[in-house]
Amino acid sequence: MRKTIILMLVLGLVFFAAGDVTADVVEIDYWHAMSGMTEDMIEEQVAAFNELHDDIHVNVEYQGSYRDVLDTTQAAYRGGNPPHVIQSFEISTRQLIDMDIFVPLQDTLEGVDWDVFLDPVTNYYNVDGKLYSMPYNSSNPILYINQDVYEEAGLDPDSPPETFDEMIEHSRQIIESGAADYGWVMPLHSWFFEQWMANMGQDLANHENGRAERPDSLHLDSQAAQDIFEWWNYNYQEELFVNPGVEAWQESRSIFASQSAGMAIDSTAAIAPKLASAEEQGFSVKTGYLPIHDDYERHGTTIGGGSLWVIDGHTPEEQEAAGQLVMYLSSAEQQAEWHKATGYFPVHEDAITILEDEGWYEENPNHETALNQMLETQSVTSTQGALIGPFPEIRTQVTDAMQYVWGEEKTVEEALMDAKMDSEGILSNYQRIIVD
Amino acid sequence: MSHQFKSKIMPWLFLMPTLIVLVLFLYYPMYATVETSLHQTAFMGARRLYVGFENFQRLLSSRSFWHSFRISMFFSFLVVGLTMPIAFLLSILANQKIKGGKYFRTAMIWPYALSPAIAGTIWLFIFNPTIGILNFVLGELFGIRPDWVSSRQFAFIMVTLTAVWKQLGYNIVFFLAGLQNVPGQMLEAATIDGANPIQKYVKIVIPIMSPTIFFLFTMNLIYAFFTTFGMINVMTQGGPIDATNILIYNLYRDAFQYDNLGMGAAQSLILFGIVTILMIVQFKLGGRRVHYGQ
Repeated sequence: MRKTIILMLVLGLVFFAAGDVTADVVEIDYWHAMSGMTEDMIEEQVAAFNELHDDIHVNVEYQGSYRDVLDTTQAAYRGGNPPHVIQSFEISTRQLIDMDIFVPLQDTLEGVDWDVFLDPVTNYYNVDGKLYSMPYNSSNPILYINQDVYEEAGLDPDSPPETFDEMIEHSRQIIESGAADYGWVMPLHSWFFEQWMANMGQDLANHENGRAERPDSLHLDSQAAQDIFEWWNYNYQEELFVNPGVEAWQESRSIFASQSAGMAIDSTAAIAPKLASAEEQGFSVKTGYLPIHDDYERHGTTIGGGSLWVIDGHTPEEQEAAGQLVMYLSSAEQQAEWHKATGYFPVHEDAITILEDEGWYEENPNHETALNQMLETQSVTSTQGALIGPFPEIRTQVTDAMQYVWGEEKTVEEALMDAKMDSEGILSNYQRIIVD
Repeated sequence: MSHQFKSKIMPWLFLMPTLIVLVLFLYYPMYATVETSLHQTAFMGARRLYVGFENFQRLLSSRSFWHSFRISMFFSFLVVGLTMPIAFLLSILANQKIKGGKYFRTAMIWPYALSPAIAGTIWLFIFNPTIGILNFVLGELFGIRPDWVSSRQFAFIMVTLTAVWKQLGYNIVFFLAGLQNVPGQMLEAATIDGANPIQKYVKIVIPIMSPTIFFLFTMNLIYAFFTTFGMINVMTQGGPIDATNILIYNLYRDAFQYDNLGMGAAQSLILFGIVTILMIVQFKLGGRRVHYGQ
């Protein structure tokens, strides 16, 4: 009896092992940070990829915010079972390279023509002469206007404001005419401040925006930073702008959708839900470039969004499969579909040709705004974007500084100076643990 | 009755399951926390630098940490101090023998069934300064529309009210059970002796319910210090500036948002110390007044 049981167990094990060997499908894990409509799109892309490849199966998993993806990836790496591909946000680029657990893709991925990616995109992700990650979802901030509110206020929806002064004028007219309670809405987010700095030609971090070497200070005391803060504060105090809260994307979108504000500044990646909710509420939306301060030349925006990273330490077959996946996701066809579904602009040159041939932009002019804004961007260090290790902590410094000014607890100059000092502490703390 | 085990291994074998659980889930994490608190860390602890007691020094000499400490104490004081009397009064009402009383009781306990994050989301919509119903009502009735999002004072009030509302249900469950255990004869006797309702509550009901009150006090304190994290994370993320940045949120932010587990570990030890001291004080002062049994 006992022998029979042992025999059965052994046979079972043999079958189990054999089953594992004969099935030569490579399984890889892909973790991302997109929810809602964008998550559906990712699932579709991955399903199509699995369909195309008999020998690869990708398990796709939504892990929460970008921050959550990073935290779980690091924990999984230490536990010895990390995913193969992750999506991470642009500001984590420095940190992810410092982590030293990712494969530098430009060195290792074969058969990729890196020149097909748009210059502003490669400029952003290029660190020490190479791309570590695969450009994937790229965005920038644009202006959304409520066409109905504009017409009611006697403004021309075809000429949205381009400068800070025009923002104030239009907001006044919207409020005085009673077309809406507020001129404009935008989450209190450091990202927009960073975009304005870049657009106005001012580096955020020293050492050429952290591109030449690691930054040890920030240009928060610059004239550009002060001008942005002064203007933003004026809009807040005069109640032209309504503050939905720190990083309050959803609240900001609700306020625009409820027509309490005539204009909104938001990411281009929000275009799909924004247009959908506008249609529901029965108003039309127009888009324009991000308005900037009147006294500055327009340099264009810097890249927001995220990119795809491949983690080191897997088998060559798995690594190969991971490479296939990221190449597929950033291919021209996929990028064109991705753009249509999400509003992230395509990072691949040929994707633009595909979209133009289809006549997509004639039918959807609002989708073109962010793309043109990016294509017109000048290649300077400010628009290349800052490389900062402890970026999340720095962002809190910026939003705190703005709130001190709004609460009239500090002047613009004091608030920015304090934020600069605290940021230097944060940077040197990071420096210590990375370089030592 | 003293049983002697024949082998010395047997008692250890019986103790093993408990010991394994304790070591895995209590002693080892405790040790790891102390150990981590002596390091500056990055990348979820993948990179560490031994810094001795520097994390503690930096915390204790930082203005923002002491701000968090004061905010935490004040917040807990308010949450406990508001929840218990309100819940007690509501329980007395809910305990009346009226038509449909069951439904009122159920409705009052309801908030307890929600997770803190859901409660936070709901109240955030209610408090939304521009499109929220609360400001609509306040605006129509009194012509005021407080900015619950940008103002530090209002944001603090908002989080406190939400935390109190969420905890009412839990308190009401226990208060109702307590009230229903007060012997009817005692109250009847008091009525015959000419006691008025207030005297009855102060002299009879509250002393009889003192174990319940003491228990709820402890649970509410733990709730205010730890569980409210979910609401704060959803509603304010500790802001505006640090107005609602209570200790548990500050810990989370340093450890997980800013990727410094060492700093988080140091804070969790300090938080552990604070709560321990509060508990000791509470048991010393409150424990004496509690009457158990009849």
